[in-house]
Amino acid sequence: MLASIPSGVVEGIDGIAVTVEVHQSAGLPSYFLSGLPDAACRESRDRVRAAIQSSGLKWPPARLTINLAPSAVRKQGAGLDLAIALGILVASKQLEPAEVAGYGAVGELGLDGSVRQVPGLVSIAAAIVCDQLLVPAVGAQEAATVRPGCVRAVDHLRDLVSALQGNNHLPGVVKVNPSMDVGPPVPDLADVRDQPVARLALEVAAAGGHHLLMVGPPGAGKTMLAKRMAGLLPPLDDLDALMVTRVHSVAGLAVPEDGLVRRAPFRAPHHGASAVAMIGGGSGAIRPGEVSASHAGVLFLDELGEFPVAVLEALRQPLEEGLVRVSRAQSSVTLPARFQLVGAMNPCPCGQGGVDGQCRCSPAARARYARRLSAPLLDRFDLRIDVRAPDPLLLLDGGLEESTEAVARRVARVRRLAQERGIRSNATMSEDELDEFAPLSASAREVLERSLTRRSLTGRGLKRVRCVARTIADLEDERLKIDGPAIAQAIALRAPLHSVVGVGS
Amino acid sequence: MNEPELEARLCLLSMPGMGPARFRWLTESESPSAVVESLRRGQVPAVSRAAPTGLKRELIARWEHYARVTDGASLVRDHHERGITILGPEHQLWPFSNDPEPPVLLFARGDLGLLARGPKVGIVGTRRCTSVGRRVATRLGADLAAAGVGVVSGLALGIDGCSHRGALSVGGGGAFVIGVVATGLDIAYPASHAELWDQVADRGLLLSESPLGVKPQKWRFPARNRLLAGLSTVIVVVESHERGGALSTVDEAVRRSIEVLVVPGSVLSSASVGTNALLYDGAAPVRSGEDIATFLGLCHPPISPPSNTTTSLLEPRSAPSIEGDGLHPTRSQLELDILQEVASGGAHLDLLISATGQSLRRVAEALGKLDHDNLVRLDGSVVTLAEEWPRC
Repeated sequence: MLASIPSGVVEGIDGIAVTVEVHQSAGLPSYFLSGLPDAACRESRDRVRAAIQSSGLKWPPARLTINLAPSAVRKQGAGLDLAIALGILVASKQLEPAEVAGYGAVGELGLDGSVRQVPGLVSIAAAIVCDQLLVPAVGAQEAATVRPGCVRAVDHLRDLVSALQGNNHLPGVVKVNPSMDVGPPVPDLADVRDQPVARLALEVAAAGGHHLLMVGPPGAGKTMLAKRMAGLLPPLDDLDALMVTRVHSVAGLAVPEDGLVRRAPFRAPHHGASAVAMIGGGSGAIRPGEVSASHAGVLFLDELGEFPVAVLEALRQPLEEGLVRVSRAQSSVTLPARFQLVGAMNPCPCGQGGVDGQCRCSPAARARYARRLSAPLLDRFDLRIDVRAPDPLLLLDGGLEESTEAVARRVARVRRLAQERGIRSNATMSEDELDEFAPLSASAREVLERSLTRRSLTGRGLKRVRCVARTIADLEDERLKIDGPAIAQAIALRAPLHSVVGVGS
Repeated sequence: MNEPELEARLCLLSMPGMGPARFRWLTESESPSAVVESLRRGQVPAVSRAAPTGLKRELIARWEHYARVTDGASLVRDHHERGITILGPEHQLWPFSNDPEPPVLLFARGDLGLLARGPKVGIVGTRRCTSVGRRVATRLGADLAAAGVGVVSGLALGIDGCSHRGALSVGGGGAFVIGVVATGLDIAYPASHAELWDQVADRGLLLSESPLGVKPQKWRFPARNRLLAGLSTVIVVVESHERGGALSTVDEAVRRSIEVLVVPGSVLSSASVGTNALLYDGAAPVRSGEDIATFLGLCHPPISPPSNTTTSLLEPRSAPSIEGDGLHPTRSQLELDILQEVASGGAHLDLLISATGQSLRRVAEALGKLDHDNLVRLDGSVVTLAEEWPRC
């Protein structure tokens, strides 16, 4: 007797449809699994047997051959368990073929027959060809967003079989309730007092999608500032939300109960992270790295100077292209990685280098510290600011500053303006777009010429400063020309490289 | 001093770990050439006193080896080939005749005639200086050079280098500057000041008591400071932390009854803790080059106090090249406020915003103008007084 159940696996963040074919024939009881299964997949035999027996069903005393088609693609993970179990039940005539016709199934089985969650369920659900899809309860909402109207959440193999046999009702179709709810609140910007420059830098970074580097002594509040960045970014649109949900689902990160990730992700990997953890890959299944997990959101690297040089240099390609390619001998996977980089670091090993005449580091120690960060990487930061520790008295007694909500409204308006201009963000404008959307007023030209003749600005810096000035002007609701003060602010928010980690005297 | 005697002294001085104290101990009862000879034969030189502390048998063994493999004549040749003059106490320009702790030999590049000229002002201060210190040191160096007063300094990072840069910025060819360094004249330390070394040697005089090849060692810097004090008519301390090399120069100056003048600093600046303490102890304050000139008797004390020196330090020394009359561009109130805030040390943009009560937009605009007139510079988000000469 032959059975065939549609299912799927995930590679990278893409789902691949897999048909589970089960053939039962006379012979000594045995179990063959073909079609390039990995270890977790091959171990399905023991899980499936236990689950079938725990569910009060019979394990057929016969020769079972299971093929996972297409057989040339590697199958990873335990997500095929449920389909294999259903296939065996059909092949051993405990279920009628008609009873499972049109059903696809994804889920890992527990020894007691319970159906467990599978990483990357969203991607798999999108790939499977079937009328009705049976999935574990955890993740069913996400799956329903890509396959509305045909996803059913399954808790236990026993209940599922009895429902398919018509003894009781199948669980209802999971309803999609698309919401723009971004989830629980994040720390509010109103707490940030006495740091107007840092506040503005955060706002500009969020509004224009500019990468931001914060340099400052320990305790100046760099991490606190970075954490407030997530709240400033507008909720993800449908396309981004789906992509982020898929990546997070594959990466095994928490996805909101109602299905889609709406809040821009905020990831803050520790500086001990390896290149693979950052970029993605790993042995066996290709797992998305932090750059992908922070797609459409913020990647915050605290203690930037402590990250291994190889890890930092590996960031340059995703920063440039907005995606990462992880290549293997067998296959190559492309993962999204369009993130906004926020870095924080001390100015020097002793941390006091930003304050006039306070640094206690030897010039050699400063030079060593500076060498850890390559100029090409530092150059990616449009906004480079020194963060000064606020006055502690103001922290206690000062009133609240403008809240995240108010700032986020301005940020959203600037982002909309960019969309109306047909660009992704102000940070990614080309030369032509700059000329079209960021024409310079006479006063702006004057400020720029001043900076260029004083050699505090290079040719490349000029372009970046114009992008930032566009964002600043947008925030000030000046939609056409860029004026002098906007340029002056953009220059003030862009510390020259030598002063960031320079070898000073 | 005859040639073999010079060769023996140079040979001894070039030995590892050899300073003036050990040299004197070795040569107390024997001539330097006799000491070299006995080291060559592997005998411990006949010495009357006990060995200075910290002198190990292994070091003497290394000296013996050095004496065997080194030819004093070739050492002298090396120095001459590099254009270095070797001065001994017999030299007519020897400046340390009355010094309590004179060097054994002096190695010099440049214009030896400067040793005979006077007066000379030693400008010293911390390497970890503030932008204010840089500006003051540069300005003092330039003002003294313009008045024909010599500037003696140690060519270190920070105050030292700035004072010499200031002095060198005045006039064309020759300059009355003397650099006193701790290493051999072939080993520029810090390496980033190699160019400054050459400028001082080409236009002024570069001095060291260490022969060629001597690397920077910790103990050589305080030793250098005593030479710096000994060469100067007066010592001016621009900025000093609570402890530091500048204060060791002050001690050496006091030991030689050389007057110490001090530039006052903000009581909030840690780079002025040492200098303000000297003022508290009774040192005379220096507000400008004029004060030093008055002290040296080069000009009479003004009847009325000198015009507000803070303002004079803030205004550009040379007219910036801008259109219009340019010399005294009218400054807005905001620009003046910013200058006021910055004049007492670097100020973060955050502080300028809260002190002036203006938006970053207006502050940034004003800073752009001040930067253009070379009054301030924006170092990241920290605004400091601009230096008028290339950064030290």
